[in-house]
Amino acid sequence: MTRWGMVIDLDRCNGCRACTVACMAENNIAPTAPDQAAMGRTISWMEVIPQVQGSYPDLRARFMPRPCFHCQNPPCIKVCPVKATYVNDDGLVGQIYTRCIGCRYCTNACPYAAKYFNWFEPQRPPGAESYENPDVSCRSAGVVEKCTFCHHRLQKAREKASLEGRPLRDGDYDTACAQACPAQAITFGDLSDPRSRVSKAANSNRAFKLLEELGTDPSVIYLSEGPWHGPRIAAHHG
Amino acid sequence: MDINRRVFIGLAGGCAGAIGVWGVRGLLETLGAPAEDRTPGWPDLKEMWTPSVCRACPAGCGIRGRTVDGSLVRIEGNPLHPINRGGLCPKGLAALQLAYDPDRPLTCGVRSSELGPGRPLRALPPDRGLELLSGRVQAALAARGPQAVAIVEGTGPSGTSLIAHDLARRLGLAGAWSHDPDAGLKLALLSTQGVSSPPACDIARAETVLAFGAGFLEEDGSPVRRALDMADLRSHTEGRRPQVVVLDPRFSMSAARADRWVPLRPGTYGSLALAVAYVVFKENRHRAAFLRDWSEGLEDLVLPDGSRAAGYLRMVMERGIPETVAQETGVPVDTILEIGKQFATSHRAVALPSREVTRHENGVRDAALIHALNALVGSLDVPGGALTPASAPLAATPGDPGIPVPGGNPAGNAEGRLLDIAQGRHPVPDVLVLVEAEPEEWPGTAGVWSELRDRIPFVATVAARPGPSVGDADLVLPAATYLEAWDLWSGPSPVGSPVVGVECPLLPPPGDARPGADWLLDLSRRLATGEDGAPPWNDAEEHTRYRLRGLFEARRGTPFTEDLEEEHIRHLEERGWWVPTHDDPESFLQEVIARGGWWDPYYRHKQYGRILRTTSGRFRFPSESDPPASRKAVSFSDPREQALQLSVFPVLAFMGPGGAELPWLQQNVDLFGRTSWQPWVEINPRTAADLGIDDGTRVEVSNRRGAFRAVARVFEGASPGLINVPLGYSPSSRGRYARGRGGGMYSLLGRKRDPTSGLASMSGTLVRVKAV
Repeated sequence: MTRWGMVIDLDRCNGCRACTVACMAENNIAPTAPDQAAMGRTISWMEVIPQVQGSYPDLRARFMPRPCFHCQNPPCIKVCPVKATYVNDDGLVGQIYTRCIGCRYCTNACPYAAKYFNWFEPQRPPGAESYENPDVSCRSAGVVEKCTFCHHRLQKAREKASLEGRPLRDGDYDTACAQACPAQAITFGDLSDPRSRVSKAANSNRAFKLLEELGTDPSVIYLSEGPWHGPRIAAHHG
Repeated sequence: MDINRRVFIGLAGGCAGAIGVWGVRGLLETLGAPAEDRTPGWPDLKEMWTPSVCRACPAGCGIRGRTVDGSLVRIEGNPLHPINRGGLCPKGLAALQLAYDPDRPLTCGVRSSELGPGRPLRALPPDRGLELLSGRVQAALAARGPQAVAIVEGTGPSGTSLIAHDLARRLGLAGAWSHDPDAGLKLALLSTQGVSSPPACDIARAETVLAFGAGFLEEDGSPVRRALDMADLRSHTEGRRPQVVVLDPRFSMSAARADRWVPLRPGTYGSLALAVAYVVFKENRHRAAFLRDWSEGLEDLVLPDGSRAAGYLRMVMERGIPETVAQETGVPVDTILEIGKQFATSHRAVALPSREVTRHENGVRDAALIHALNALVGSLDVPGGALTPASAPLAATPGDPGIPVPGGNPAGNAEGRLLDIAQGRHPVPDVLVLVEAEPEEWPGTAGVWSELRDRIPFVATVAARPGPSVGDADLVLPAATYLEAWDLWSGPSPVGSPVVGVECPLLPPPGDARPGADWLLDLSRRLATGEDGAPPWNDAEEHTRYRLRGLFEARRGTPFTEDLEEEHIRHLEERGWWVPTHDDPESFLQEVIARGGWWDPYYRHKQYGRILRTTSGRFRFPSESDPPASRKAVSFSDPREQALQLSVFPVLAFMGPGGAELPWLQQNVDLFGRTSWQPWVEINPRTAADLGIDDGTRVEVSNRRGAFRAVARVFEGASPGLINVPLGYSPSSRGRYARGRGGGMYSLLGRKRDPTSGLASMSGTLVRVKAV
């Protein structure tokens, strides 16, 4: 059984936010209006969290890209009253917009602050309907949304492999963020395949999982050289 | 299939994506519905992928555009392009919003004073617009000769730049004036090596990198390529780990990824370079053989009037004493000695001057002093050292032999020339043609443009974005964005080897918009006198294909290809072999276009005959006879006056023109994460406490020349006594997402300029800050 996952090398990441913008473009994420952004309601399925330690001039900094972690024991699905969020056969935590009633229990339950609620109808710039990705449905007010590991790309990859009469290969299915990263800091693939690049990367002695002690079993693994104290990922958005 | 609720929901969710791809018609077909049951009018979505080049900044990364049913829905990196290898920065990714910007100019229009105050734009047919412009140009040339017309282009190292220069030449002008952010670096290498190119520092193979100034990850060369190089350095697992030291007043993104950040006072880079050279000489680590055989200027010079000027060696020994430099730069003596020794004792060390170094009064000189370190330790044109980018063998313009180099002469850069006009050192032209150029957004000319503009009788702008010029030009000719035009891109490559990217239109330009090259070629034809006067190309595509033929005739290099084949070609060329990939130029061109470009993977190191083109054929070390080295730094804080020194810094999202007009970039501009949709200033905590300013306070920054407002961020990465201000906010942009969102800091800058480049200095400006 596949388990799609991601390894993010924090020693390679330079915080440029290419992953954030690639995700916005791929998944039709509307820009957040300035007043809403000021209230911490920016929707970033792939958010890059900066951490600066020390005081002038002895500083160090690290940038942590944070997608949905597609946990195998996700707190969000346990609290959803309408089964709008679930773990599918590919190990991905799905979000069904048409079932979501907007109670935000899942948003509050997520320890990684990876879920976002649409407080208002997304305000798309004029002309946005021309460049929206036709593979991804747009969300409306009142529903929760989050990173899907670009699940639509998995469907297309499977179709292509099927047409070519071969099994899906490592690299056929890649997320927009991993593809765009200039530093090649993000590796994506099947964690259950020991030959995949992501599995090999996950076996590094620099690997760790965020808040692993909570027992969420996330499918996103970080690599970092030094001790990682971790920023407090507060639910800073509404 | 047993359909339960879970399966149904899963299918419904999956179908949401499937419908997007296939259209309802496709879905019905898949489910076996007969054709007559399909809803009429639903489109069959046709998907295409087309390679092109990103021009969001001068790097020219390779891209691929995905169009579905004629709409551009995705831009991603071209994995075959040797510079970016499939990666792409936020600017390139956000360019979807550039093509569909609701405020971009789409109609040819003219302004007339007869139409009353506010000078509204009146639409007119494009041919009439060109007729008007050509008439004005002819009249101006007839009345006052070449000085009456000026062409200012900001298209970067592109084919359009070559056409602009060709037009200027045909009109008898000295040349077009190019807006070139690398002008200062090019002049630094011109003075030391006799070549007009910024250095391409091979940081991926260096052991020690001394990066002077902000932004090799934010703006210089190719931020995408630098990101990959830095990431590879960080992943180094064998032998001695490479070390990167960033010397900059601000804790930038580059400093954040480096092994060490050394803050110093703005504009004192040259002094620090002299101190590093001092340590190299004291440690006896200079490469004596290279200096003996390939350099000059170490010894004192005898000037024509008989006086003596200190040579490089005496200058270093007298002015590079660490204790003296510590006073000037604010860098502790111990730190100077540490980084000097580290640089001197590394097997492969490279000193990297950035654009920011050249943006102050003696910037070109300081960049030359920094680059001199590379020659001093034998890091010139070696792996892990400072390479000199080779020009691509594009086909020459008929009647103008020599390899065409897009971008023009750095000494004639647009910002410097416009400042000359503003300061009365150059005649005011009667007609100014702006080609994707916005002087009101350039640091040096922003503060003088309004007054200068009023003195020029006729300004025409060829503009793809809603920049300030669209708001006040006499004639607006709407241009296609780079996503809608044919062009080529051949700038100084960060890998040293020549790279040519081919820009293919991903979608047609809307409205009256045409590629800038097409506007210029049409104008050139109208102004042609005699049979030989007209340019030999009809449009941008023809020009692009013409230039690319030079690559076929050069009999080297390859269309972009995969790793293994690249390595094979490099291996062959190293041994003097080259295997042609195509027998005829047409099939070669098709392949180059289909893959996104061409390059020569083999960089020949230590080609001193190519890279040292001074009169003597040697590397020329700076001496005291050159324009003066770094002056003493302005006291960068004055508690009595409560004045801080303004220190500008580049931001990745706004590095190229128009970044502030794109919502996705406005939202992701502050990489330390706290500010979006508005400009900010950064103040050190101690300085902020002295001024009584808290994080998030709205402040006014002012001096006698002007004022602007921004939100204050208390940031440990800001040096005490400085106020860091990001570049890229334009108060005069006509784009709705940039308009009214701050800017105006350029008007506060003083009028000092670098004597070599003519570029405005952005250091040494004192300001007051108060909460509002």
